Amino acid sequence: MSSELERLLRDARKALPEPDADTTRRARIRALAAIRRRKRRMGAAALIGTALVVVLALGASLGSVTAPNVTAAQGPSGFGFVPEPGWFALQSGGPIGRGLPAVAIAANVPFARDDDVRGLAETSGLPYSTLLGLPPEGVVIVASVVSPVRPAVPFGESYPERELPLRVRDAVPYIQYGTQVRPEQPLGQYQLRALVRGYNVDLTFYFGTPSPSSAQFAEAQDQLDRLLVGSKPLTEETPATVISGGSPTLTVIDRTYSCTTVLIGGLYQVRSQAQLGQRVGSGWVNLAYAAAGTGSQAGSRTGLLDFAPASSLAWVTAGAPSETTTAGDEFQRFPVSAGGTLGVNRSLCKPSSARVALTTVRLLRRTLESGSETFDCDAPRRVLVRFRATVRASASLRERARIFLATSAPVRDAKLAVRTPTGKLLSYADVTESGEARLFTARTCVSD
Amino acid sequence: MRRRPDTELIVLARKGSAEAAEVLFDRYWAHAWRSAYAVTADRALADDAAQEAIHKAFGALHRFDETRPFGPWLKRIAVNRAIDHLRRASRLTRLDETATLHAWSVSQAAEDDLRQWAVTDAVAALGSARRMVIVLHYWLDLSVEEIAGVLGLPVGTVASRLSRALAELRMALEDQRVV
Repeated sequence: MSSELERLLRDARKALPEPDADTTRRARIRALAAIRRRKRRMGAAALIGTALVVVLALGASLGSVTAPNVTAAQGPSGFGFVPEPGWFALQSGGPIGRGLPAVAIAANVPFARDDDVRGLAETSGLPYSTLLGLPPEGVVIVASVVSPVRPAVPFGESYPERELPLRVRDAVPYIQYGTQVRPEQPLGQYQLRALVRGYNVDLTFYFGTPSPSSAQFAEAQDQLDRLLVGSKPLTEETPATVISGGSPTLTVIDRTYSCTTVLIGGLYQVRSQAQLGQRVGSGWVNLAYAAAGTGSQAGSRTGLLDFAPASSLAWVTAGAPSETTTAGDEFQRFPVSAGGTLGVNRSLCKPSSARVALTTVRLLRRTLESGSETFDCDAPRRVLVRFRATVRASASLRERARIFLATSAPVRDAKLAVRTPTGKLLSYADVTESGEARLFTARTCVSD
Repeated sequence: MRRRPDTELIVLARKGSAEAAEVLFDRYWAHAWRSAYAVTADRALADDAAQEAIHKAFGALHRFDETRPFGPWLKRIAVNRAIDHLRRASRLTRLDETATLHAWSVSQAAEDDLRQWAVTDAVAALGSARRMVIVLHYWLDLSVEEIAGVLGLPVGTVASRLSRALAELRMALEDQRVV
């Protein structure tokens, strides 16, 4: 009986009416308008990019204005430098190749244009133009590794086994084949070789002076601490920045990350969004939510994801969730019980010691129409993301769904800010357990 | 263009191809509207919700993972918008008293099938809470867990509502000798 009834019910959906012609016409206009609006934005961005290239080609000396755009490593996937504040990083494309050397370069000065091949390290691995112009206080570190499948040099005394972080003090003065890169104004050149996790690692340190100061060595060490080799990233090894609050039941989680943005449609963008809490009766259907994300991967089979969207850089919620409470906007909701009340994408974000102000200064407050709003902000290839959450429990961030660090503890209030490495604030959002959410973004950000 | 798979159309539409977007629209608009109508049982609300859904979905194509099916994604957006509209109109509670057979209209083809007509009317006559779970489960193919997520209810509550709604429908349809 029941199965017959269920069959009848399923068949009855065929009796649902069709939309009328006028509604269909209006919907078609709105859908195409959404596509055209997006196209105009892409066109405007491309125009700005083209104009910038033309200006550079004409020799305009934009110097430090443009340099930050070529700083970040291309997502250090197994090998690379996570740049220290004030440092710049490049690397060859992709992870460590089988038998092919991979190169990663970090410098405390902007790279010369010749050494930056559309965001990747020049294939020779020697940032020659940068070294020629290296000022006395300048430091450049060049690292190369070879796949363990075909090591260039057998393991042995040439490559003593070492643990990360490597030490600058283990490096020795070194002139490759008796060559000084800049004979007329000699550089300080040092070499360090190590077998790290099965990889032969070659490191060359270039200082702008033949007699580097202890401060320069210390600076080089700080950056060397952020060299990634193999699959062991910085993330969990970094001690949790969990601060005990005044009340024993409250914990403040305050974290800052350096996050890689994803190129999509020719633009590197950060997506900032906020959503008011939605309550039914005494419980939350959807928690107040704020997030920063990048790139695609937003869709899912049903729109209800198992975890937070893979494109999330970080998210915060506020309020006490039930078993079925969700978080996120209508395009991508996830159950808080599975995804977590706050979290960060550990595959796109690495801990950072940079300072990110939780402020709305110079940002515009955005109205959350229909309870939620999303803005796209053009961004460099790396952004700094900070969240500060007051959690109603003792909590820490733990691995979830392999790519996230998250907690399920209910959050009383939380703030989330995103800025560029050069200090431009892109967005700020905050949420409270009363269901409130606010979103502020830079003027240049565009409603999604 | 009309034979191209969704994935290609989505990629083209992202690049600004109005033709690809139109094909995608034609392929899924009615589906989205019917989803909204199934939830709201009201043409005006369904019009608004479905239009908003298609506008938002097309505006967010760059955020969509084209390796996933487009239809269910759009349907889910339409359902969410419809529920929001319904809540905004405070109909979730008031429908209990106002739901009538006239809230539903059926297609000409369906008029020939009295059983379908009867079932549709019986669903329309359910209280809003029970009607909603029936619609989401049997017409929009959401699982019990997904319905719980959409409505913000415990899974057990959804399951019991579904069971009671089926029992109520069975009684109504047995009276009419439909089942």
